[in-house]
Amino acid sequence: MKYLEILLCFTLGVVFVASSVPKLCHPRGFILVVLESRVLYPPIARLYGWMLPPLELFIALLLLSGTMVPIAASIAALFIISFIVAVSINIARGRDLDCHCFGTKIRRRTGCALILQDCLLLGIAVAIVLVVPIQPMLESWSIFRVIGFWNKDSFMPFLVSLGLTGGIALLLRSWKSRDSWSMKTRYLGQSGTDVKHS
Amino acid sequence: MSTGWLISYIILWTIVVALCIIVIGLLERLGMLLHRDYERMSTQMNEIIKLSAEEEQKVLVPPVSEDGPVLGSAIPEVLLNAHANYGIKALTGRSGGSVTLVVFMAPLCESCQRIIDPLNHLIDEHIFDGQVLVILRADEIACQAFLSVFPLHIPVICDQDHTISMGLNIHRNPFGLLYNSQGKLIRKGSILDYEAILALLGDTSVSPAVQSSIYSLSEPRAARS
Repeated sequence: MKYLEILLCFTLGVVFVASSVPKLCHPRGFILVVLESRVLYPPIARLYGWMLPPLELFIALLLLSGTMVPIAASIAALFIISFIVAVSINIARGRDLDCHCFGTKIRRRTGCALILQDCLLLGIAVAIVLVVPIQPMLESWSIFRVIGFWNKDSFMPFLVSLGLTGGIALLLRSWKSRDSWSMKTRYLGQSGTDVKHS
Repeated sequence: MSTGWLISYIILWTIVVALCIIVIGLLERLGMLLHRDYERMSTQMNEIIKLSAEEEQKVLVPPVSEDGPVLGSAIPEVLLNAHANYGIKALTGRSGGSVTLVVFMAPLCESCQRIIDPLNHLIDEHIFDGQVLVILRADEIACQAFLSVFPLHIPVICDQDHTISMGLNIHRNPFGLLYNSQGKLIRKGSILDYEAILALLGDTSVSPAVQSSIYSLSEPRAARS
């Protein structure tokens, strides 16, 4: 049972990391994707689009580190339900959109296959909630317990995951903001004059 | 239960409750929508036609050099009239016109989103003296959403049913057309980054690799190869 629990947590955790990182790299793009899905009212869509990527990463870190697993899986399940509902609404409207599940670079059309995939992930999240007992805070297989950093009721792993999420989010944003165009303006042009077109 | 446990429970369950409210709202909307759109959806499902391999071949996007109008062609009337319809200054080809860069983009294309800041930079820093006009291939709602997230400091026209871009034979995003002050198309090409925009505008300081992807009137493709 323990191995099944680890397998489920890692599967869901890895999917959530893979999904959150591209969104964190290009946060405005993801907000636009949520707005463009036209399911939520714009202010709520904006808030959802802004909050989702870091929360996804946070949930993934909790799952991967075996910290508060049932609650993390419950939140993951709710996220997945929200994806399923949004995709279903757009299919029902007859809109042919890209899902942008793993950022805007990987193009994948919304459709029944996507809903099935989300249902599978939902099944994994529900299985984790059912299988894993709510106590203790740290699972026996948690990396923090294995290396002997903290005991089973320590609050520190939660804070570490929170800190890591914030750090990774900031790092990805600042790394991406140093994109090609800002580098070019730095070396070409103080070159406003060099490139002036008349 | 320690204080830490209690705080983390409160935080996480607050998130659970907030998400529950959102999900319930979404489900409600889904129910209303399915009820309303059921008939339309069933007709659409019946009309779905699977493309054969040959048909799929036909819809493939042509190479960059074939995209857009022929070099030397005049600025289309629809763009000339843009100033009247959208409150934009008189474009090139009219008396007192200037060099005009027309950029075609789509809201959800990441490359297009990445050139927003460079385009604003071009205008704000007066690097380009001519006019820039953006044609956004989307409906009104999508245009508004796009501009609320990616504010542009240049005029934007919503190409609702893609008539402008299809009329000009443009299939890729972001794509730039550069018209001279006489209203003739002098350069065209994909503009995926700031360097490519500068190359399209005729800057000589950019790398030859980027220059070679731009098809210019003065340097036809055949002559260059």
